[in-house]
Amino acid sequence: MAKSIKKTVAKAEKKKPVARPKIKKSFLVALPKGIAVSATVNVVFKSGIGQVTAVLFRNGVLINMQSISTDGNIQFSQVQSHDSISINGVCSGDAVITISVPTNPGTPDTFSKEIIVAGYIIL
Amino acid sequence: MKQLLLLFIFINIIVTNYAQTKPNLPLSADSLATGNYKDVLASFFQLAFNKFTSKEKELKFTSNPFAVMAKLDTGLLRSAQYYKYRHLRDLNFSFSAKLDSSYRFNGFSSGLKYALINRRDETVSRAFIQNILDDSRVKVIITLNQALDQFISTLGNDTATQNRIQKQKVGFTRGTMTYNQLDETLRKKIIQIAKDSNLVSLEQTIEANPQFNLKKTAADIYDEIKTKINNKSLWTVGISDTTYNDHFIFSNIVLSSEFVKGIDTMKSKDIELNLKAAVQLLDDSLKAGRDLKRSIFSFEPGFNFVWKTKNTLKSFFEFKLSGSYYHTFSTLYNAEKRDSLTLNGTIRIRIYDDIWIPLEIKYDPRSGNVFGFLNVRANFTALGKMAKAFAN
Repeated sequence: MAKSIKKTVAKAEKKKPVARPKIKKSFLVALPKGIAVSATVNVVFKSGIGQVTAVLFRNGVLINMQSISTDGNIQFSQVQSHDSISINGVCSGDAVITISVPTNPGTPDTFSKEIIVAGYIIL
Repeated sequence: MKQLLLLFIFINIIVTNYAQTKPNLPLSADSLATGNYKDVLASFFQLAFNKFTSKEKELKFTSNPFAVMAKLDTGLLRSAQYYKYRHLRDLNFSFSAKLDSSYRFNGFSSGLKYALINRRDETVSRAFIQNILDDSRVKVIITLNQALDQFISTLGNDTATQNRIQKQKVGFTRGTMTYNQLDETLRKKIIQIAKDSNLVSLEQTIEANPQFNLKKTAADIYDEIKTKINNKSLWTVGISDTTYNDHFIFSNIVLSSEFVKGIDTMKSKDIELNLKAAVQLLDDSLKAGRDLKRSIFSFEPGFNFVWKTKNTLKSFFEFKLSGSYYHTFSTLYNAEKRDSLTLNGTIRIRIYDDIWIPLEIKYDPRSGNVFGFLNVRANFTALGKMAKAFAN
């Protein structure tokens, strides 16, 4: 019984490995099409505190996600046209969000004592 | 008649000021605080015209050092500075001019108050931020927003469609469009996201209410969690003094302590426990000269019943029922009793967003006397306006 199991295992090990498809450029959903530039999401909290998470999507793929809980910048090293930046969080006072590249809708965008739910397309 | 005219002028000045500078007052969490709480600790500025129907009137200004500092340096409103100086926001100072029945100066009064415990200031509460982010309904909203942005990023090959969907999505998140006003493509996508991400509550909400407004829903959740913060403890200690009208010598010193805590919250009604204790040092008129040898201890436990608007959760009517116990330590005046009790009622009516008219009534069960005081109090949330000006 033990011998037959050993044989089966040995046969399986001898089998040729399944050929894996080579990764082609066209398979990459996040392939840069245009010019990639760096973008800064500047968050300023006033008259209160808050927390914000910014997520960069390209062709439906999550490229980068960063959170901030004080005033400061979230840096995306490479963004390109038609990318989407999703911004979510909360502010107990005012929050002013400014993206350093042109977006739709435009920034700065101000939120006041609310749950922050926003999204911007890179133009 | 003269008092009513003054009251009208006082309210008119404030209302006109607001009409010029705040055409559309947004619902702010600060405006959800009760009038009783605002009288215990002012967040920004409070202007009060107290007892204007009685012989001894008072015009009082209350603020905190941070509000004054921020008025001079708006950079202090930045979150790091705002958080750093949070304890200054727990300190109140007040100045008031006492007036006689002919509105002549009758003494000067000043006071300091510090909140030893203040769990009601959500603007500096990390727990409040975390409570919101941990709320399951907020997680659903954030998941939906991220999934929609993810979907929009896939439409890059068709710029016109991407912009059209983005415009609709922006309208949806900003509350200018309800669910049933969206394009069918986007409506189907939202339902698909709800199914794929197992957001059962979102699917059910949309089915039950096709006029689902994301912005309003988020605002309601924020206010609901803020209301819970409004019920937390506030304990203050303070000292105030009054001078004579002809000499800058204290005629009255009051050491006080006040505690406020919400004990029951319903959708449109709240109940607050309010405890107040004070020791008052006064001039003993039985003795020659001016001194502070007459001392009276008072304790006032009470409940403040709050009626709120159903949708905006703003308090519009409050009734505080309390009892006062007085004990005189020093020599008694003629026919004066060492211990006395009164039954008190205070009605607060909100006539404008930040303007309250409290009517205080005291009833002495022994003598059968009833005393009434009519006041006007305006709370200025000027920091919000300053922050907007600073942002611009």
